[in-house]
Amino acid sequence: MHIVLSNSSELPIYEQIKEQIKTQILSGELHEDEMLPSLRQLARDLKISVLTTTRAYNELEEEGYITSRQGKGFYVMPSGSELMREQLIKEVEQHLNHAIAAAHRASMSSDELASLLKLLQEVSDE
Amino acid sequence: MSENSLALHHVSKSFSGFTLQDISFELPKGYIMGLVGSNGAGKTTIIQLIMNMMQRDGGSIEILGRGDSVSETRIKQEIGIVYDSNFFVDTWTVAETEKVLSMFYDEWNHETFIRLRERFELPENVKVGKMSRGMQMKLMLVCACSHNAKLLILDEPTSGLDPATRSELLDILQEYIQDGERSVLFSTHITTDLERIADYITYLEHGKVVYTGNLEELRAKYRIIKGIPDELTDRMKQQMLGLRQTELGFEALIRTEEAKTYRGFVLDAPTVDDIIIHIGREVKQCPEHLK
Amino acid sequence: MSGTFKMTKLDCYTAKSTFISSIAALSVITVVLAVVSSLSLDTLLFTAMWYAVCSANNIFMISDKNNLNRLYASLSLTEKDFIRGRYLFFYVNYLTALATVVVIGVILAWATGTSLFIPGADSSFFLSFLLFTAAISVQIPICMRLPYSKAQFFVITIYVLLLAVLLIVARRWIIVPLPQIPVGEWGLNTFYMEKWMLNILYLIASAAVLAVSYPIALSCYRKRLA
Repeated sequence: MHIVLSNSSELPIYEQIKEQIKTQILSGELHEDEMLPSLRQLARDLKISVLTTTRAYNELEEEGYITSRQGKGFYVMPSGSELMREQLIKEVEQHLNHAIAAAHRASMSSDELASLLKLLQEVSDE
Repeated sequence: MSENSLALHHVSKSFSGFTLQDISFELPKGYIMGLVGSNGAGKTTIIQLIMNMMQRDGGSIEILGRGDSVSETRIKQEIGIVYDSNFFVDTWTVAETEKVLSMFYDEWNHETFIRLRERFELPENVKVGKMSRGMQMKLMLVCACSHNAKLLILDEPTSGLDPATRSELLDILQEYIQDGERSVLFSTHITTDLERIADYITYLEHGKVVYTGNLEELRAKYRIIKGIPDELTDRMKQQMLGLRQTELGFEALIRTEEAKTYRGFVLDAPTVDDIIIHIGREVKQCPEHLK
Repeated sequence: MSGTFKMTKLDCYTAKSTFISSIAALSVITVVLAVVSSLSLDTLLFTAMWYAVCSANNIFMISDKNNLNRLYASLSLTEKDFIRGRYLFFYVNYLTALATVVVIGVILAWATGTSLFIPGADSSFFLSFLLFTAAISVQIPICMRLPYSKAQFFVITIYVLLLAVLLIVARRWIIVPLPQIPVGEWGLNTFYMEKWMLNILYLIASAAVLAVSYPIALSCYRKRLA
């Protein structure tokens, strides 16, 4: 696992950690059942406070990306997990809502939007 | 069984020209707390009260869950302390310092001392008084960490030190709390040191606690608001803390909930320094605002 | 109890840097006095006593200079350990001074072919012990209560008084055991007492003085902390 923090980012530090871990889980860089660094080890390596790493891990756990095992540590959840899927679907919803709003401002019709979506999907499948 | 390494309840102390009032805060096990405030706010006095260097007028202090006077002296075995200047006899060498201190600690660990001494490259036979400030601090730190102390207290340890040494110290502190059982109380007016690694913070101003708790929550509690003078309303002025106004613009600290109602102004996340500066200014301008 | 010994050891380490120079100075003073007045055990004992009072006082100076109250507060030392250890440190100084003067005295006696031991030496010892105890019993509480610089005025007064006693003894104006004071001053009559009874009396007096001084020193120390 690797994390690179930026001081000039708009996102607070715990958000940056969450985003980077999420990305690595979804891309497969972090495998299912892989153990993450402990809260304190992570805090020390990144030179941040323990409460910050705790918040990042807790929220990732709530969102279904990782799970904690008593006395052992935090582990990556399988990508097919229910919670993770729900989270990802929520993200899709959010992005789609943005797209709909932008389409509205651009005076696009629903049909135009739907066919644009289909086109883009075909492109990304290649 | 207390989960706090250190807890102060309504501690007060007054002496000529200065009063510490109703000081309460808690430091849970396994975390780092910064004690901040301008010079003269009471940080060193609090540490002296914790170390029992003077009698408190009121309130109670619990260290590692114990607060009675019987264990008051025994508890010193479990506290490691680092001051802003050398507190050993300046004619002692590093080796002699160890010899003397090890007499007083049941759990003195000679191997740990040697290991840390070598890590910091402290010379064995130089007199303490002749060492540089950085080395003196390192020696105090080595001693504080060599007897299995559960609570590490540092009183302005980084003033006068170069950035590299300060960074080393912060790393040692993070290493120290790795096992989740030991805590650190770190008083400083160089807030950038603890901005990143401190979990909790107690902010003092004029002998009173302005805020104590999660550092992240403190930063989330306030925003820096900036704008042009024309846009300043009286209502805004009332809500603002430490307002600074020039012909070009204004800048103030404001509570986040109140900030949400203002559109079109620049709203920045504050650093701990920002908070201290603005609240300090506010206290000077209108002392009654100090809650 | 062990806390007391640790405190004394701490004081010894604290004063260690002045130890050699201290012994050297005492040796010189002893020789000078022996040459100027007389090589008698009385002189030696009282010199040791006076010197110990003066040199042990250094501990307060070093303590003040290095701001050692922070060190003391960081160690698991009770107030009682601290005070007792300090008293004991003074006695350690006394014994060291005694040893020094006796060694010097023996060397000088051998070198000059004179005899050192005079009758009544034991009484001299007990009396000097009493005077030492009395001096430190006043000195320690004062130094506990006041910062070093302010305490000096009182401490120097004690030195001067003791020095006067020492010189009186050295000039053989009185031969110990007391009380027999030269006519013209107090005009007290001598009274006869068994020597050993006098010694016991001195010891008891010392103990009594300490018993009064110790709690005063303790409360002075507390007041300073408050």
